[in-house]
Formats: sequence, C-alpha cells, structure tokens
Amino acid sequence: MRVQSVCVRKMPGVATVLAAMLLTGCAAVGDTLHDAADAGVAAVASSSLALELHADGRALTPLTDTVLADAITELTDASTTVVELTPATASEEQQRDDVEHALRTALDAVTGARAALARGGAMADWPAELDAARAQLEEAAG
Amino acid sequence: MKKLFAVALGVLTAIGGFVDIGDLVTNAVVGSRFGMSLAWVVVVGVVGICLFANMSGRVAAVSGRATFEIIRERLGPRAGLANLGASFFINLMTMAAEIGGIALVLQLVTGIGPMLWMPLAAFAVWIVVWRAKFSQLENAAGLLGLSLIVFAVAVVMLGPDWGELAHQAFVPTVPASEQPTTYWFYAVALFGAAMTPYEVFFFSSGAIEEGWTRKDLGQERVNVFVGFPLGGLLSLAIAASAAIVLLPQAIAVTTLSQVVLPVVQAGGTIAFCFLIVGMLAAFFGAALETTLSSGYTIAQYFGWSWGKFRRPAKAARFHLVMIVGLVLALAILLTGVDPIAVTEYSVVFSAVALPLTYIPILIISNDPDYMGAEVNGRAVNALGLIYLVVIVVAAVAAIPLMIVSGAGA
Amino acid sequence: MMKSPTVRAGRVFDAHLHLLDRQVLDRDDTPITTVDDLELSDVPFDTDLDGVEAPVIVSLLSGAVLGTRIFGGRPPSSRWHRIPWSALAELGTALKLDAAADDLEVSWPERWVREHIIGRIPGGRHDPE
Repeated sequence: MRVQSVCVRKMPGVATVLAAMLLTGCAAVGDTLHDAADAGVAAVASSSLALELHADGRALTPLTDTVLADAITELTDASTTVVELTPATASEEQQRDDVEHALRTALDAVTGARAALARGGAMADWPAELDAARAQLEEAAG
Repeated sequence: MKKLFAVALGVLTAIGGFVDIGDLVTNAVVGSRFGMSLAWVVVVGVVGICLFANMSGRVAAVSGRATFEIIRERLGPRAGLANLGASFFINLMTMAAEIGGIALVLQLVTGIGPMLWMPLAAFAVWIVVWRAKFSQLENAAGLLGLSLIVFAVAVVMLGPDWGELAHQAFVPTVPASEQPTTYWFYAVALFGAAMTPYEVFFFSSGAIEEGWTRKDLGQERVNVFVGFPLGGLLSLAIAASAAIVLLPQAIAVTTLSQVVLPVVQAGGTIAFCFLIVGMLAAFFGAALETTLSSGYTIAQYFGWSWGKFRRPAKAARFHLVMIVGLVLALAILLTGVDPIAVTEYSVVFSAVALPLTYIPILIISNDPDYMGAEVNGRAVNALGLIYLVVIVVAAVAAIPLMIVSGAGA
Repeated sequence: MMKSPTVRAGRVFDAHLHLLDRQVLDRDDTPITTVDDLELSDVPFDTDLDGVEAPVIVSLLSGAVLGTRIFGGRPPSSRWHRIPWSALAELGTALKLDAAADDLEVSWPERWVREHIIGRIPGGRHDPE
C-alpha cells in the first residue's frame, strides 16, 4: 500500500518536468522561422565570402567547393524545418511562406554558383545573386 | 643544453597538443556569435586544467599508480564502475569527434568525402597506436600542432580594432541577437572543451609511460604552467579570428569550412597550408590520446597489463579494448552523423562528467598513503576547492541549459 | 578468545582497505589483475568457536566475483580464479607476487587474447619501434 501511494505522488512531478521540457523544446513558430532565416543568412554569407576569397586567389577550389557544399546542406535543412511548421495564424503563414521562398532562392543561387565553380568558368552574376538572396532572407526574418 | 632542449620540447608539445576539435569548434562558434564576451571562460578553464593536470601528473609520478587504479581503490568497485562507464562513453564520443575532424580536414583539402576518409583516418590512428613509441607520437603531434599559431598570426594580420576586442572581453555582455541561456550554455560548453576529462587519464598514464619520478616534477610543472596557458592563448586567437571576420557578417559557425575562412582571408593559401597541417596534427594527436585513454581507463580499472611501453602481446587486452573502441567510434561516424554535432555534444557531456574525475584526483592528491610528503599544499587545496564548486555547478547546469537553449540553437 | 599459537606478530592490515581493489603485480611489475575479492578459510558453522583458529586468507580472487561483489550473489567456488596467498611477496600500495604472470592460472584471459587475437595481428609480438 505504502509503495503504491509513493508512486502516485511521484507521477505529477514527472509530468510537470516533461511538460516543461516540451514547452521549452517546442519553440514558437516565429522563433523557428527566425532561426531558419538566420541559418540561411549564415550559409549565404559564408558562400559569398568563400567566392570572394577564391576570386582573390586566396582560397583554393576544394575549400571553396566544400564551403558551398556545406551551405547547400544548411539551406536544405533549414528549408525542411520551415516546411514542416504548422503556422497558427495567417500572418505566421505569410511569414513562413516568405522565409521558405527566400531559402529556396538562396539554395538556387548557391547551387548555381557551385556548378559554375566546378565548370571552372567565370562566376558571372552568381555573387550578385547571392547578395540578393541574402537581402531577401534578412527581410523575411523580420 | 640538453636539459634546455628537453624543457623546450615539453613546453612546445604542451602548447601544440592543447587544442583539439572541441576547442577549435567551440571557440570558433563562440567567437562568431558572441565575439570575445566569453573569453573569461577560457581563462577559467585554462587555470582549471593546469590545476587538474598538475595534480594528476604529480599523483602518477609520486605514487607510480595511474588514475583509474586509484579511483577504483579509493572509491570502491561500484562507484568506480559507474565512473568508468560514464568516462568511457564520453571518451568514445570524443574519439568519434576527433576522427570525424580528421576526415573533415581532408575534405577541405581534396573536396572529397568526408565519409570516405573516416575509415582511413580510424585505421591510421590504430596503426600509430599499434606501432609507434609513446614519446614519438606525443612529440610529433605536439610540434606539428604548433602550426595552429597561424590563427594568432591571422588575427594580427587582419588588423582588428584591438580596443573593441578588449572591450568585448573585459566587459562581457550578451549580444542582442542571442539569449542569456544560450550564452551560459556556451560558457559551460567552452569550459568542458578546455577541461577535457580524457586529458587527466592521458596525462597521468603518460607520466607512467614515460617513467616519471619525483625528479621529473619540475619539468612537469613547466610543461603545464607555461604550455597550457599559451595553448589557451591559441584558443582565444581562434575565437578572435571568428569574431573579427565572421561575426560582422552574421556567419554563425556550424561547419569546419567556416572556421577556416578568417585565416584564409588573412594569409591566403600559405596560411591555409599551415592551418591544415596544424589541424591534422591537433586532431590526430587528440584521436591518439582519446584512443589510448579508452584503453587506459578500462585496463586500469580491471587491473590488466597496459602501456605503450610494452609490446602489444604483453598488453593484449589493453590493445583489444582500443581496437574495439576505434571500431565503435567509426561505427558512430558512419551513421552519417555530423562530426561537428558530435563535437558540440561531446564538450557538453565532458562538462557533465568532469566531477567524476576531478573529485577522486583531489582526494587522492591529499592522501599521504599514495603521495607521501607530496600531498597538496594549502594554496593548492584552497584553489582546488574553489574549482570543485565551479565544476559541480557547471556539471549540474549543463543539461538543463542544453534543453532550455535547444543545444545552442 | 585465546590467540592461536600459529598467529605471529607482525604488521596489522585492514583487509578491506589494504587488500581489496588493489593492483596485483607479478615479479617483473607487470599488472595481472585487481583484487576483486578474498577467499577466507572456513569456520565451523553453528558451533562454539572456543579453541577454533581465526579464519585466514587463503587466496586473492579475481574475475566473475567482481560482478557479484557489486551486484550481490556468489558464484560457485569452482568458478573462482584464485591467486594463492602464499604467492604474495610484498604488500604496499600494490600487491607484488613472487611469480611470473604467465605461470598463474588467473592470467588465462590475457593469454587467450594474446594467442588468439593480438598475436595474430602483424607486429603484435614486437616492441614498439
């Protein structure tokens, strides 16, 4: 009998801890979008920096390629996170769409730049595309 | 002259061997997100590891017994086993992180991988553990690791606003873009990266490998008290390079390729080459140390024959444990997990496990049975108790901070 | 209780403090095992102990007894890996034996791993270069 009552008394405590963990773990939609956009900005900025250094002759091609490949992974992961969100309000949904669009633009720009790098040809407009994508992400983050 | 050379070698290998992938990544992440406002943690961590390593080295040199033998004997087999389990698990994570780091560096050089490089890296670590002499592997990895000084050179070449950096360091504030819980989470992570538990097992077992006695305590003190702080300066240089180049561009470090960019910006391809050599040496050296630590801890708990100074046939189970450990670490990596993520978790868990190794060492270095007249002085004990509090606070706070801050997201 | 005539004067040790969980070394200082438990000689059960000799340590134990020491229970005495007490030469912070590691029954796991695994890998029997 005594053991049973102790177990019952312990349960609410455990439940509270779990609830607290879930609450803090589940960030608000707005926060997640902000984090995803920040991750996107970091990825695009790294790519721009790497391409700049490559054009200067400071960065070797394998390094630059690795930076771009890592950026693509980051952008893809961020996109996946954003797509899986369930916005509660219309404005959240709008923000989600903006961020998703911006991430997609960024992903296209980085992929295109990486392909141009692999071809060994001129980088053409890709640096400008990356800058535009970055601006779009910063705006979508709010 | 020969004595001077030996001293210099000891110090230089201590500096070069100080930085591992945990230090490199954590400092770069912190620099890119918080600037220099967590520099004080590096200082606290360096003083702590000096205290800790010195005590464990002294225990080994004076008593002739290595850490885990004494942990079991003083704490009993049950507490010793719990300690062993936790230490082995975290050691395994760190092994995986270092080997993953080697693969990532090879990817930076070739553009290929990193999964393809991981088996090769693990095999290379094993071959060196199998055949090379202890002092050779220590010296080679340590001296080549000095190449990481390129970070400090890069910081100078970038011509930063020193006033701004100093201000961030001496007047720490949480940047507007970050939460206080994330700040403290990284404080704990940085602390765990500086005070890695495997360092203690390795240092004390290494003292026995090299046959240290009371006579060598002077050399050991110089290695620790000169070498480790200079290594700490290197950590600060890594953070500074990220703070100067990456922070203004909102590039929060999440990959090794980003860590490299500030050095490349400062010094181009030549600096890059030095950096590659330095990183390979540092990560390879740390991979060797963690692999050996996995062998030391298990062999010393069970009382098996161990040591690189014995031929493998004479320390058979010791070598078997290390082979199994390397296979497990490789298996973890081949699941495709990001080595940087493994690194970040390994430093946090290192902080959690720190009391398990620190408390026994503090107790044993006060035990006249093992230490004779060389027990801790009052100043060391006072400092030791202060650090005991710091370590326990960090260990207790680590997991809650990790949950609340979303592991620093 | 009268002291048995076989008890000699000497140093006094606490078996728990100074024997259990101590490293056992062979005559060349090679580690063999840690003392996991001790085997004591039998004392008659449920009778008057007048005139009976105090239990003496028969052997040091290693192996499966560690598990039972931590978790409870007792493996059958045929499964104990024994180091006879008479093999002990020195008692300090570690226990030194008067025998070579390979001569002892208790070192069979080490010899097994050596024969079947480590010895088979190239370079296993050589000194580090």
